[in-house]
Amino acid sequence: MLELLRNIMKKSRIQILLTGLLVLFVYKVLFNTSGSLILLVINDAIVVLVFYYLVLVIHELVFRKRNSPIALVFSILILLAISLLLLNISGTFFKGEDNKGLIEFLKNNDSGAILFGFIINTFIIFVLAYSFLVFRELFFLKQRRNLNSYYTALIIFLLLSSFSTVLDEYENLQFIKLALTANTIILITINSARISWIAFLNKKEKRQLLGLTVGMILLFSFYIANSTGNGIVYSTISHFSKTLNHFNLLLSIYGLIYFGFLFFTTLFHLPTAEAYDRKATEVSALQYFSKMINRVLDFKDMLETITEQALNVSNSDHAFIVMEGDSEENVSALKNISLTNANRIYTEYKKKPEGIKQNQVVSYSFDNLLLSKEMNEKVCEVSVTKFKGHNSTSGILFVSRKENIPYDEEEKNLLQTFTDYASIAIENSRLLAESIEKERLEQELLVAREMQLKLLPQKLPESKELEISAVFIPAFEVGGDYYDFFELDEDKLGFVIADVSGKGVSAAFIMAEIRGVFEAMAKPESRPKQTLTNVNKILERSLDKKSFISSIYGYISKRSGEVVFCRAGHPSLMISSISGIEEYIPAGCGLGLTYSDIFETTLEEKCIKLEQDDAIILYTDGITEAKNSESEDFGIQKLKEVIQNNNRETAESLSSAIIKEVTTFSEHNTQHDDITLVIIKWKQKTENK
Amino acid sequence: MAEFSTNTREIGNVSVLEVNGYIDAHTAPQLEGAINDLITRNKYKIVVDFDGLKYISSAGLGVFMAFIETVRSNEGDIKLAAMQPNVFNIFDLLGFPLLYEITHSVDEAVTKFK
Repeated sequence: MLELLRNIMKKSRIQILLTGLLVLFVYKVLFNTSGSLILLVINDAIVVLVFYYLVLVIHELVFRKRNSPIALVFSILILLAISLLLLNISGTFFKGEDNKGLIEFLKNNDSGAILFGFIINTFIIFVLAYSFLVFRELFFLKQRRNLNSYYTALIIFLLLSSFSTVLDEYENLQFIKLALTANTIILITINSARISWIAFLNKKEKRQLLGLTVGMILLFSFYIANSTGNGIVYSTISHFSKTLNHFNLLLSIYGLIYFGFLFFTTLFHLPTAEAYDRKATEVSALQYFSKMINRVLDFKDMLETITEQALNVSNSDHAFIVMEGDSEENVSALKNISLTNANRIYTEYKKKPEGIKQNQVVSYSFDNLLLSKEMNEKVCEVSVTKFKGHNSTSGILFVSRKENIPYDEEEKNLLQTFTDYASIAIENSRLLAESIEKERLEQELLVAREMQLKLLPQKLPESKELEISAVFIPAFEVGGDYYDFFELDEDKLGFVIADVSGKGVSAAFIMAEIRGVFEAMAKPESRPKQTLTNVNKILERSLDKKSFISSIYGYISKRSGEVVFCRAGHPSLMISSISGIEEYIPAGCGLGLTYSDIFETTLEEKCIKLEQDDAIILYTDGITEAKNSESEDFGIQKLKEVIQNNNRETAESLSSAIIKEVTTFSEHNTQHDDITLVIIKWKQKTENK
Repeated sequence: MAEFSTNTREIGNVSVLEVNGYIDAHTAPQLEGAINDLITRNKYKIVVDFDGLKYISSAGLGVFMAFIETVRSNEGDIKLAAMQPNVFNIFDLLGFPLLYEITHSVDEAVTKFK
């Protein structure tokens, strides 16, 4: 509701303003020569209202330009000059001592006089409103503190003392106007000291401002001089509205005081303006540079940026960078200098006995090192900074001057800051490259992991005589665990568990390979020893010298419960029965360890006859080498205990019990290796019953 | 990661390579470099002293396999000595004793070269 009202107010501001002006005009026509206090008050109230709405309407005009104070000052200067010109022109029309002609004319009830007075005073109201707004913007410009209360006090006194002029008729009430005016002037003086914004101007702007303030002071002085007694300003305005006249006077005083302050402050700021400008350039250069760093550019681009910016801030004529590595030197990012000349300066620098440390700036005076005879280009002063580069390299930033002006401490500090930034940027780009590499590796691991999961049996074989469970828990880094089952014939089920040495993609590839090899070699007529020997022979062609695979391959007869297997370097095969656990470690070396006959001759084939509910347990070292927070291994003993305690359970529950125990044990440590657990429980007799 | 260091000493014409700490995928290249060093100096009679070794992973085992052929074809050998029980267990499980000479002490391994 309030919002709606505000919107209507906003839209109707111009209407109200225009209506106000119309009312004012009609009022003037009706009561031009006013005498009574009531009529005076009504007259001035309408004027104040018009002024107020004019301020609201043109506020936007000034507000838009608030960031260019020079333009604002310039615009009031122009307006003020125009209004003075207008007033003086109108003054010359009416001859007579002390503008009496004009006063007489305005006092006439002649419609021409009324119209003239109305137009010229409306213009003055506009100028005052505009100036008022500009003063307001200048007052709040670049202020960090909340100064609203100061400003509000000023406005209140300004309005009160202006309005108090309606009491001019009463001699004994003059003290009110005097007191209010005095207070207003004090407040004006206090508030005029708030001109910190000029510090933010550059040298050129300060010069312009100085010129403008001189103009302003002159104009305001003239204005004030004409606003009292029988001055032209007074003559024109006071008849129209006494409040307006007094407001005009006060605002002119404000202008005079404010621009007086401004003039002297600007004058005192002028000598330091250049230094301030330079500081500003430095700050923006550093700002720019720190922004560039976060974008982590191409290394070459970054060097270019360094020399370019260094050139700007250190007042140098040439700049370049030399990257020094272990064996090579690389001159780059040349600015205003040829490669040959850069090399000459670099050679000259290397002749200097004292070396330069990292993050240190050293200046040298060269004895007019002639760069080009035709151009008569010389190098007199050189400043050198060293910074950390890629890997073991370091960069040296050279800046040099044609003139014999030594680099001062400040410039050296700046160069230092620059190269500090460069070091950070280089470090950033290194970190980025590293994280990209890490991401690539992670991606690779993900691929390897997917590959591994696809290679494992998607579905376990089912038979009424066997209860099979297989668990595979991948580690973060892909290990090379693998297990599989082969339906060799109606009776025999082949099984294999393997662990490929190494990790990552290469392990996953080897895994893929042995899966194919086992699939081809696992035949019902081939005994496990024969199968593994064949697999080893085939692997010779593809496996590299450093890789090997530990494995257990065998088969179980579903009908008889006979298990035949060989162990090629793999951890033990365990048989869990009611009576206890038997661990089998028959001789045999890992696949790929040797391709000589030793592999076959040492490989021992084991044959075991299972009892009802006996379980074959196959595992990889991911289980026994699972580590707790003290880096202790889970170990074979603990594994046996868990199996012992759960030996009456189904294959599935036994498996869960083991995995639960292992994960609880290692919950405070990361899983380093894949965990694979395969359990085959023979339960033929139970089924028969 | 885990620390690892090597040290080489000569006993007669036999080079004894001391290995200390942990050998895993990250430190295996260091071991590889040490053995490679001996081979480039034509030292083919190598005894690896495992006394100070706490753990060896499959990547570490692979290093010995990478060099054994070259060493043996140059009338030398890599003998493994003075292993802690847990380290020996790893070698044993994989069947290394079937292919490599593993002795209780360095001296024993050195005398076997004579």
